[in-house]
Amino acid sequence: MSDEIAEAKVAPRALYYVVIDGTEAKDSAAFGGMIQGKFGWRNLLGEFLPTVEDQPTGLPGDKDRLIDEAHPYLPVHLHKTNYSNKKIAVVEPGGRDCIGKDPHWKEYAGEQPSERPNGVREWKNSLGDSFTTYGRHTAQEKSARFLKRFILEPAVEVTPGSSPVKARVHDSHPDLVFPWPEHLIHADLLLVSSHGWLGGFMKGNRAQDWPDAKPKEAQPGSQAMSSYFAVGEASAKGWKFRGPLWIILAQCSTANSATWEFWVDLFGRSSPIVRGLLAYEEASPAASGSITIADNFFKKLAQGKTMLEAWKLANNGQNWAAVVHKEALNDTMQDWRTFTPITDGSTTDSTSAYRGFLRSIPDGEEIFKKTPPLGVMIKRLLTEDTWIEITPELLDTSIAGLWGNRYYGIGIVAPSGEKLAEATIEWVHIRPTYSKQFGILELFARFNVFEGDDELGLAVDGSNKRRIVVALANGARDMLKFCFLSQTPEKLRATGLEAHHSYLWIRATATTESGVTLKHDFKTTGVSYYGV
Amino acid sequence: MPATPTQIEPVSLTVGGVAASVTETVRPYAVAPTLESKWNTLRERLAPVGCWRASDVRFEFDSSVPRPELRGEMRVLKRRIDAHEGCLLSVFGHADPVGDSGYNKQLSGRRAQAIYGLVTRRVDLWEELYSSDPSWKDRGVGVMLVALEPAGDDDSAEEPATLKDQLKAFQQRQGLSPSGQADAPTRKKLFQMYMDLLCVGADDKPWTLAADRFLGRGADSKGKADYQGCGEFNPILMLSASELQKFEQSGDKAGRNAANAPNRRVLILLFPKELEVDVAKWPCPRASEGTSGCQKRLWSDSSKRLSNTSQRREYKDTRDTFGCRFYERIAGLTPCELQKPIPMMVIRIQLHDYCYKPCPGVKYRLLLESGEEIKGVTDGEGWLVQRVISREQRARIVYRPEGEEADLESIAIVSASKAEDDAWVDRHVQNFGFRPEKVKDALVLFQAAHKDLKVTGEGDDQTRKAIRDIMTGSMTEPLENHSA
Repeated sequence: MSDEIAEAKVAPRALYYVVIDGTEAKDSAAFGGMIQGKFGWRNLLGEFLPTVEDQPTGLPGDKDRLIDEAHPYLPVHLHKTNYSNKKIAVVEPGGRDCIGKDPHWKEYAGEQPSERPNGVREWKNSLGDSFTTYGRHTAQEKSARFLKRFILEPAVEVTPGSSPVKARVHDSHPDLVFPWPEHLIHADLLLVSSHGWLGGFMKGNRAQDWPDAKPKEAQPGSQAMSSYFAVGEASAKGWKFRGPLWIILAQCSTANSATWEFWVDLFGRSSPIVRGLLAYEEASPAASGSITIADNFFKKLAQGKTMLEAWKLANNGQNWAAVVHKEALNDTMQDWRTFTPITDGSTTDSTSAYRGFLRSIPDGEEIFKKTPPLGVMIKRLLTEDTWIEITPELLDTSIAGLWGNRYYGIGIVAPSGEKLAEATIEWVHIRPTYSKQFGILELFARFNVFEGDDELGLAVDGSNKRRIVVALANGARDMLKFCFLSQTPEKLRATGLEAHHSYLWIRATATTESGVTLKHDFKTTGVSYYGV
Repeated sequence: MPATPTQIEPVSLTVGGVAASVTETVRPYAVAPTLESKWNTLRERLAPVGCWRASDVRFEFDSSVPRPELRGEMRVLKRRIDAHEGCLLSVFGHADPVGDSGYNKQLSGRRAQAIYGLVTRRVDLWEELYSSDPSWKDRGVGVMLVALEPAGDDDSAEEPATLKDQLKAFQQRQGLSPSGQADAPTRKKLFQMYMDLLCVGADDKPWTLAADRFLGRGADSKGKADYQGCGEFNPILMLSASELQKFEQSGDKAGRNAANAPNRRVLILLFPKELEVDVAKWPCPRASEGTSGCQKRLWSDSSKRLSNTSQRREYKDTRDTFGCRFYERIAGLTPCELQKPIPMMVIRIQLHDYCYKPCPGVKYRLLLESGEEIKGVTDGEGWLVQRVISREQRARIVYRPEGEEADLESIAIVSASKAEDDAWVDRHVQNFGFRPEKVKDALVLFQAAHKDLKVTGEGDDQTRKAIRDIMTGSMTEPLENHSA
């Protein structure tokens, strides 16, 4: 009797990616084309979300729009790229091409009855501050806030058996009550292309003026108040990623030695534990430059280089950064399907699971939870006698804003067991290498000691007008406290600060009573300028 | 009482063998009435706790050279040894009843010696085999050299290098004098490396046993009680007289040899660690000795047992084909000798790359769940064809498509079942690469990826047709994601 025959056709396990772009989408679309072409990855949203042709919405225009009935304000579009014959689905929280002129936003009227007919929405923060948006501005704000959840868990919910099949972008908001989806498919890799700041937060382009938008309040250009994601906030609130094993951030500055600690905090409690982050310490290339880098990156990956090596080599000359788990240093694209799961991602002040890499530290260093050598507190005076401290988790709120005519309290704290005799404070605009920096007196009308403190002297550093010197007339203290009064809104606007782009943080040095000099950059507790 | 094994399946089947634990067998002691002043003396029986068998296919034909595929059976042996902590081994080689009994005794003994030498890393024993068995000189060395070639060295599309060239390349890699001859230093290194290649555990790490882990504890320099050849005295299959006559009349030696293949085997019996045997009293002659020692232990009707009668007889059914009563007593009730012929199936698997394109002419390693590893090259359309045990198999396949700088890995679930049931749908969808963390998501992923299917989550008619179309046609067109 001859043997039976069993047949099969096999292919490598399908892997899924999501791309989010808050600036021009061409680099994200190119990335998608490359990862699909070279490694057969599949675009999660492009695979599942219906097009306008599949599921007509009755809303105007844009045949390349993908429909998510649960998030109608969220633009997801198919984009052409030279790197594939297939269009690539890109999440564009700033509207198509992130200029705020998304066809579905033109007359956005909101979802809730309270928002109709003008898409009006009032936004309040925990301090009771509020602002109101209309039309497309509401959609823009909603998109930005939704991304804080979607970036953590890039997934698609699929409930088949209905016609048309329900597929929507996953929303993990705890207050939302949807029927639990039958299928929840997570992305294995996430790319976010946007603007980023040293404080570890990211935003998109400012929406352009649009005279055709309705209502008229929605016509001026605008910027969403909320960031897409702030790693300090995510870390403080105990959030975690679900799904992606690797994350790529094509944005300035968000991965640096000040934010590493927050990233590894998130990664270590994520499910699965995030294996690595590829990003930038300082300026990242614009869209066209990013495409060239992505091309080199994938070529190196195809040669069998590790994720880390390929990123380094593709970003030669750039201020790249990476955070990689020690067990993921040899990760390659080819091995992706056989990665050994990481079981321990915890980081403490004495144990390290991740290594941080910069252009200046190409071999990387262990990341620990560190206590800065000295402390700096920044507080903002809200009411006559209420100060609120600016912390990393507040960076993308109005609390951490540089507003005109406001008092900001600064405290420089000595390390335990020490006292401070002298200190300097320098306000850095965006990053030390950024071309435009500001003198202290351009930003602040004055700086003064607190009432009754005659011992403390403040003076602008003669050699560096961005710096003030703080000195005690006699003795030393645990803390040196003083405050700044910001310039008027008109004067701030005149300085050349860019609304929703300028971010200022403190570089501090201090000399202890025993003569030791301490230095630290407080990148994650700065203030953003909103143009007001 | 033998200790119960640690957690392991009772029987492990591989293409080239079987391993099993021997569950407790209640053997009655026959005792007679005795006087008040006398006692019956009962002696602990010589009873194995486990067994392992390597089939003829794991040796070069008519040779004691172990083939590289034995690796899978060695993994299985290691698991069985570990399950029976501290057990003592004894190796029995068997030949078929064709040909000269003296030759068969020698061949079976040499195979047993090869296995013993492999497990104990006795390169000197393999040197002896090299000197005495002509098949080691040319075929054996060649088999070992090919198996030890670094990946990527040989290109199946080219003519194979000569043995001399292969030896030179090996010598250069190992820092030996590149004479192109299998000289003593070369053989030593070759044997050592080949032993480490074959004798591995599930983690692919080499393992070895000391001589005191064998029944004779290495007390005898020629391995008495540690390894022996039973020659043709214990076949598990006796062809009928008419079957044999047919082969002889037609001159079909190949057919006759193939039919007798089940008899050509090597068995290892695992005994309890507490067992002590007097090597001097061990009934089996040494592997290198003749058959006279065996003759003393044959059944009185051995000539009948070992003749080709009117019926085909298989030991598992008739229990009357073993000639040696000693061997029958210790091994006759072990699963390794009672195992029914393992049904086999042919698997045809077409390999694809990341972009769902077939991979013709690529080398692959097929890693079965049993631990076996089979190497080969796909045909002109990207198919691998191999013969495996007939049951649902889940295999890993490691291969490198043309143009890729690194290996990739796919999983294949194969079954000979032709029923197009839900299991059929699940199997194929997962084979196509849709293997999410939750298996229930696989169908949805496949439907979403397929350019013509709607996502229903059901194995509906359109989905089944799509699967059939892929199996009879192309995977590329409906699933590819790029088409640059």
